[in-house]
Amino acid sequence: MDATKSASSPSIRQQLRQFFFRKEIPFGMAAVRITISFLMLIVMGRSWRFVRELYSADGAPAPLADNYGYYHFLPTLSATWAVALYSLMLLLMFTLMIGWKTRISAVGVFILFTYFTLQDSLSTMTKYSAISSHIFLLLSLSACGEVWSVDRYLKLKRLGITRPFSLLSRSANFEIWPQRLLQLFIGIVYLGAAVTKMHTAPYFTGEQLRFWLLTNVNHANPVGEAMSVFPAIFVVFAYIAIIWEILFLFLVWNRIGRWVMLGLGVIFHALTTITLGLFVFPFVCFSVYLAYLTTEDVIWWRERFAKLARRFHFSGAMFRTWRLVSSVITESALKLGTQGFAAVLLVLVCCAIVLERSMDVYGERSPNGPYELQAMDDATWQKMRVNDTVIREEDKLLSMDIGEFAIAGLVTDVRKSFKQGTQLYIQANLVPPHGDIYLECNLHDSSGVCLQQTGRIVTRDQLRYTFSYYLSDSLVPGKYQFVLRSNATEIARKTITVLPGKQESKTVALGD
Amino acid sequence: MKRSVAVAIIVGYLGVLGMGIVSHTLSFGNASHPAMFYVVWDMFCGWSGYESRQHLVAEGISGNHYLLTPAPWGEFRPYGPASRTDYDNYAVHSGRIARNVLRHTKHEPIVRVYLIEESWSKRYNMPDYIWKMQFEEEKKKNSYFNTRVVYNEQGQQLQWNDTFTSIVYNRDLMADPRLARYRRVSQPHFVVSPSQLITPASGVQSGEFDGAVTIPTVSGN
Repeated sequence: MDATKSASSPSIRQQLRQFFFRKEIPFGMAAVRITISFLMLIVMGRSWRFVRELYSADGAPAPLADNYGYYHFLPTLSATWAVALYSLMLLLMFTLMIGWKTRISAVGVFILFTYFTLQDSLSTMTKYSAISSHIFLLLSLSACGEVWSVDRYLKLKRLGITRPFSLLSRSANFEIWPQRLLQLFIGIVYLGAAVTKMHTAPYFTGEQLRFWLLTNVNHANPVGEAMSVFPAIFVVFAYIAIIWEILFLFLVWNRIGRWVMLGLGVIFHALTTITLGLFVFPFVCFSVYLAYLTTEDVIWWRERFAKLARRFHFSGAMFRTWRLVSSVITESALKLGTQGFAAVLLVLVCCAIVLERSMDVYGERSPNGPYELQAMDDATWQKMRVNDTVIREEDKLLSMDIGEFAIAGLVTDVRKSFKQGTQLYIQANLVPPHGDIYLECNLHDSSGVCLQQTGRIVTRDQLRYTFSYYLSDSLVPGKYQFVLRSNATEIARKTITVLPGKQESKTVALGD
Repeated sequence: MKRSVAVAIIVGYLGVLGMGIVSHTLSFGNASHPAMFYVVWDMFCGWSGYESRQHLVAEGISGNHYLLTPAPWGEFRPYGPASRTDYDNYAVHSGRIARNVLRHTKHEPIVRVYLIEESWSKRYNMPDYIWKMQFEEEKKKNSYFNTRVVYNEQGQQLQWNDTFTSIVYNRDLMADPRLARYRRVSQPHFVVSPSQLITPASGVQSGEFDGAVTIPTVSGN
């Protein structure tokens, strides 16, 4: 029995061999190649105008290595070389995207992209740049140019195929280990992100996310700002996100697990766009998700697309345009050959150098000479030079929430009217660093008379304090105010309306 | 041969990624080399209760002051409204940015350059409609200014201060009279030669070890 079982079930070695060295058409890597190149072409293209300033010795590069104490880790290029190589990188991103001289393009992009991102830690290098470097490295090791590419077209032409376009999505099978490494890579990135969250205690209490939603260093995030009023929801999201990040690497390998993990990933990253104003990072991750594309998926999508095309009659015009653009590119590539490829790059790089020089970024060759610094008004300077590090008491308060229910220690039903006999929570959410403070929560009537005083020392490590208050029947229905005082200074005041009685329902409840 | 190379790449690559995870998890060597940035995945690891912006200001020989950021030729804002200097959390690169602006502009002789940190409580980042939901008080944003770094005309650092939030945190900590008393009686020092012991409070003394010399250091913020 055991002998039969061991003969039929593959060993770990065989399983690993099957996992890494199975042969497939490299659709996944080709899809990653197209999307990541397109995305980075846009992202890096935006800063081409600033190459001289951001990456050259004629500007102010900010090498990442300096942050680690490794000064002069990489050479800083002269402005001309920086413009030339940066432009070459963009051109290679384009050729990588269309799959022309794919291997050379991928290697070139990997080296140049990594170099330039390392040279500007302030405005170019981010974690999505690091992820992209990994992707370009793995693309350069893969057969990503064997399908959906100009290289494939040229290969078919050389074989004498008369209609090569129809065969662009068919190729020989290749070992999938670079694709497997990319799939494992994103799982490991998520695992690392989960470890980061485990290191950050306020992530699990909602504070970290709440403050990130109120941070204005990324793009506009109005939905996130609105959501910051409901902090309890972040605690729920926080647990879902970390569980998903840990499970991703282990569950993404079978069909159902793959759909669930990638589906949750799409939702997670889409939420970071909506709530945090992140745009590039989600799309980088989506492009990596394409590495999970299989031959069966491509067939499935092709059938669906064909059905849709027939139903809505849009295939004709789309295909004509696509065929026209592709024909121009592929026929040009065919005519140019390898020497032409190098010549085109060289000419375009030279044009870029000339164009950049003519732009005269610093205005030094303009008729008036370089720009002149404008003097600041003295009042602004006087305001700036004061090192005022004593925080106003009111600046220590993020919000004062009054409600009846709390989830994960956070008041969830913030309201302004309550019935007599209600147990209230008055929660003060604090902005760190606030030092040790004596926090008071006093109840005042409508004429301002203080009816009840209560206070508590809140230590510097606490980010919130919740006062519990019972609205007794002795309070006459009407307007009241809860006044929050920090170190004997009023920092917030909230008016509530006390409505007549819960008496009846309370009695019934007790009777039950 | 080809298969062996592939196996070596697979093992090497996964080994490096695994090392990054272990290093990050145990906080061991995770910031030891720039290459660690490629294997440590600490996205959104930090956060602050205060929003901050950094301003570079040059002081001319006449006593006039000039704002160096944004540069007169415009600036690249990569991820939103913040400019490059705002991402220089460790104040490592701002001197170079100041030097570049000064090198490419017309101005009087410069004697000092200041990197000034402006901070405000993130509660003021709430849009007005949310503020009205949250507070009965009027929204009166207040900025705190803190001089991070002072450079000379060559861009060399003359003075370096901690960030606003660190200064506030440390000052609150040192306001504790018990801790302040301990701090007063235990000045930091370096032992540089086994001959004499010098402490800031007592001057030259005989050390416990024959001839130990200590040089007092200036304590940080």
